[in-house]
Amino acid sequence: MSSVTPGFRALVGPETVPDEFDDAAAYGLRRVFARFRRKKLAVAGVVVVIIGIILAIIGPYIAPAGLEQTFPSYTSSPSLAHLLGTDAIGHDELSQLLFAMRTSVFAAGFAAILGAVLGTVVGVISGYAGGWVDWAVGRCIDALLSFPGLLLIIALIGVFGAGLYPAMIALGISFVGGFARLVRGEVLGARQRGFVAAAKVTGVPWYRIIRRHIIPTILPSFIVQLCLTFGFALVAQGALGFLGLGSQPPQTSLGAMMQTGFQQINSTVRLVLIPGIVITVLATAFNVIADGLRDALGRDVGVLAGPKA
Amino acid sequence: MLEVVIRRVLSLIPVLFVVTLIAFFLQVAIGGNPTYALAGLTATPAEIRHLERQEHLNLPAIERYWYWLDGLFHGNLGISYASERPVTTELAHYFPVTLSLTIAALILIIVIGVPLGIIQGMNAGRAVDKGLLGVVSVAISAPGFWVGTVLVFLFAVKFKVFPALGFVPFSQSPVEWARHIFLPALTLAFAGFGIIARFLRTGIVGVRNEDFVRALYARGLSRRRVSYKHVLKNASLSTITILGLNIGFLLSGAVIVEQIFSLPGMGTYALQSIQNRDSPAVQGVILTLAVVIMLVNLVTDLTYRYLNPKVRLT
Repeated sequence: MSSVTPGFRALVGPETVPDEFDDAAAYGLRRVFARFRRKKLAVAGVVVVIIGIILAIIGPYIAPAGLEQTFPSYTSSPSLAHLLGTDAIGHDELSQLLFAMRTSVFAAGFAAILGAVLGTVVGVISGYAGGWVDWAVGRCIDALLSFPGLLLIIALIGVFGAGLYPAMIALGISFVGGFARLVRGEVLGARQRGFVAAAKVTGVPWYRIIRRHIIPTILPSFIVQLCLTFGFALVAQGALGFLGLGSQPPQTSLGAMMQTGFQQINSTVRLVLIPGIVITVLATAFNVIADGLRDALGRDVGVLAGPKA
Repeated sequence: MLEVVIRRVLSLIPVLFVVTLIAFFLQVAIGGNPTYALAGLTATPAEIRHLERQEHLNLPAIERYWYWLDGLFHGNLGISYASERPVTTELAHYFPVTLSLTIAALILIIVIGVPLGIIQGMNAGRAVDKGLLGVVSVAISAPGFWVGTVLVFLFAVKFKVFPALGFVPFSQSPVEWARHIFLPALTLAFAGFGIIARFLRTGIVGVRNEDFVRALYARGLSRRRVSYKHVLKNASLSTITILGLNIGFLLSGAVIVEQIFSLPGMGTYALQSIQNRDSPAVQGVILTLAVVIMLVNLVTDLTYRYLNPKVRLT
């Protein structure tokens, strides 16, 4: 337990408090980072994800053609004018891909974070409160996880209506169960640790115990789970787009591109192949990072949760 | 063991209750009053009121839930608004398709995933293992619907070996059934065999490092006997659990695979019912699949306990 509270640190300024106070945490982080850096595959995954995020941000600005701009050549093969060819309506495939990446990457990221936040709140409450609250919440989590993920999402979209934002929220809700179960288990474990009991005895209020003791303890497995969920979310978001339940035209997403591409499957595979490769590469990158983190954090963390489409 | 079975079955009851709540009220939230559609354009107000009473649609949702639950106990899921047939009849029509798709996928998962896992585990750290690791990682991450579309292109469009769509019941022609189900099942199996291979590999590597394995070698047992009799037996425990958990993923994945290959299964029925706002049908599909997953998880858990004496009595 550090004797320096954040309030004190803010009062005297960060420089005046020597770093040694947080040495244990810093040392741990540095060690994890060093171990992670040795995993070449995981580092490659980080590079891929960073490139993906940068492309998602700047994509629409570097796209050679506009989102709704069409050309007279339909379903043409890759050429100098259209590096990835054109689709059935005459859109430039590369530009569509860049616009779609923005939609899909941000939608998946939003859904994963929404699921993580809601799931963590539920899990912490359940695990920390214990007793009948924990029992009731536990049964609800079990029930939520009994539904086939994609079907639950589709039913939720039935409630919210089809579209990019409803699909994002439905997807996020489908991740709540997995996070809640993971966090609840970790909180139960952390609660039995000596330092939590000690904090309780010395009269530390519950919200500070959660913030300063419980959350740091559950962080490693949470981060691994979050990383896995980003990958899942990207795939599930693609599945919803493929079913026509995600983004609606003219907006496009990787899944929606594959849906329109699949209608041309008798003449060319290119239109489903390209967006699919993007999803697969990014999803694989997230899984590889999660594996690397799991090894670097040195414990058996992370569970399989969420829909696999 | 019997006590454990009873305890596990009883513990499912509250979960089942929450499942029925979610299935019912999700549908209430989707909303839409189907009375007018049911009664037709020429219905008189009296007829509509009669129909409302008959379907309990004039009651508040909580009372309707009670009637629905009452029907459940009598094996009655209501009448589908779209087809005007009992939902149970409809489910009996759609469920076998999804079931045979899932079973075929499960067979493929075992046939492909187990050998991969064994090869990797027995050669952990060597080039074979590292090469297969890449294959397995991509198989786990690749979206099923993408794999499906590529398989359609390769096997149905390019080489015309397998039909791209449709379903033939097993009872009608086993050969045609296999031909039609192969591509969808392979699509569905893609993620699963990667997961099985990975867990089996991890399991084998873990067991190989245990003391009892070293003791077996010390006793002079051959490498083959140690590997295949003792290591594999112990490593397969966790794999069974994963196989069970996989069935949930498979049923979820079936929703989209059925769309790609135009199979008349539960996923197709669910999508179509949600689009039609066919409440009894949606409730029926969601409930059935959730119960199937719960039962599969129960059986998986009990099998694991039975096979692993260490947790048999806890």
